[in-house]
Amino acid sequence: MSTDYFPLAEDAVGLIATAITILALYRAVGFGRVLVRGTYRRRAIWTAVFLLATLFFFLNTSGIPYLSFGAGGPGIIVVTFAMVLFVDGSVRAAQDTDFFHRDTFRWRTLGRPAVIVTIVSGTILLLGALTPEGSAYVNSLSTNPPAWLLVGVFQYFVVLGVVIPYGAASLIVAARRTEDRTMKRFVKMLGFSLLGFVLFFTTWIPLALISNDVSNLGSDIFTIPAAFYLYQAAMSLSPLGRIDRSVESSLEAPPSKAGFEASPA
Amino acid sequence: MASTGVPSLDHILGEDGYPDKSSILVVGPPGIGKEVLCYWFVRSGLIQGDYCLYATHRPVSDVLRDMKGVGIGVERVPEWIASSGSQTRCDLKDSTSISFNIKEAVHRNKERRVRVATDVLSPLLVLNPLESMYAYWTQLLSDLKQQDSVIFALAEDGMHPQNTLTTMEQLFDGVIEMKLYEEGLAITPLFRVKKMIGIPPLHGYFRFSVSATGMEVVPHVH
Repeated sequence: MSTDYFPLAEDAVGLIATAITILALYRAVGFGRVLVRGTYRRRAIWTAVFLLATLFFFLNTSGIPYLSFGAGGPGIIVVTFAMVLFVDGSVRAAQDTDFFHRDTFRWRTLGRPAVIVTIVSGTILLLGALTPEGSAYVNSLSTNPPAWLLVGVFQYFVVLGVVIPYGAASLIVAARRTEDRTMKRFVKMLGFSLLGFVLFFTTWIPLALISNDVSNLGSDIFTIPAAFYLYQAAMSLSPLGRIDRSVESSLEAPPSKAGFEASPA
Repeated sequence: MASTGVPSLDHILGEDGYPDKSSILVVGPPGIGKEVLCYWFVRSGLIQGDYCLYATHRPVSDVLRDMKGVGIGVERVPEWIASSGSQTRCDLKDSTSISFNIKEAVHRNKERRVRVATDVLSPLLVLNPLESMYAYWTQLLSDLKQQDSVIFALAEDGMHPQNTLTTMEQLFDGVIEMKLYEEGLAITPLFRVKKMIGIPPLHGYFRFSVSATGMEVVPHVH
């Protein structure tokens, strides 16, 4: 492949991953609209918000003209909010489908405060990042930051470093405890997606030994499986049936009391 | 007949609701709204003065919160057998005591019409062999139907092998299946009456919606 085609291929990869994520987002919103019980509806809605954050991330890092908007550090903080709330909603739904309603790793007790601490500490950092000196630091990391901002960054990443592994562990254990196969599949697909993201974040390092173009394209390509498995995760929010046309075609008027048992459709 | 509590569903079932002395099974995935049908069934019974018993693996507070969430007032509540918040505790590891407590409560109210609603079928199926559960539910349903009672049970789709659900469906007089269906890119919640004693086969799917003001069921036309 000529080096001229690399940027084009990168754009194509970015567009494919973005399109898959938009479709997944549409599906998650669809589930959120039709599920009745609060726990499951919230789970679908936070999945949609997480997908929205992923979409934001894809667009932001794609480098595609007119689509990437350089949200920088504040954007990443907002993405982490969505991630934490998404994990919270998923753990609660997994606990709800556990017939013994076990409080996995005391998430019901500690999870909500953990989410609040994350959002408060992230908001502090976000407000700091919106000041001129904060903005200069989080967007370029090149200026000398004020000490208070360094403390803000440090405390936020400490909080994230505790809350995200805690949430992930609770989600995995809660999913193992539930009998709900869709929840197990949901977590499995999420794991595959996460693997895609890990490869996206790491493969550019060895590939950079070949060339920058290969490095960029080689790592970007993993956003496609990452997005695809997120789509699969969204689709496993609830089992979907296919309408049996032979059942549908004979819709009848309300029955009269005939006094006999109906055969199963 | 025992009103379902949802007028449009009563109409679909032939104006009067569920047949007398019947057992109804509602099958569907978590979160789809099986419990809402159950709540309206219980509420309708409470309004009509029936004795209503709710046997659940959840805490009473959870069920009451859910009821409020779908617009059902909790000024009148059924008698509870629940994992917590009730006088009689529902212990999933002791299926005999669940059965005994249900029968005992129903027997105490033999002069009244009885409605029993329960969500313990799926947990018990998960925790016990199918053969023993088949015998257990056969006996329980048979005993309850000795009185003027309607039993309403919920089963979780996606938590049991298909043959398990099919086996349990045979025990019930009526089976309603609730599911999300994929129509192109749209996701539609539908249900179908797979069987109902006393009425001719009900072909077709029905679309349902739940709001704070009630539940609506209409035939689904593709």
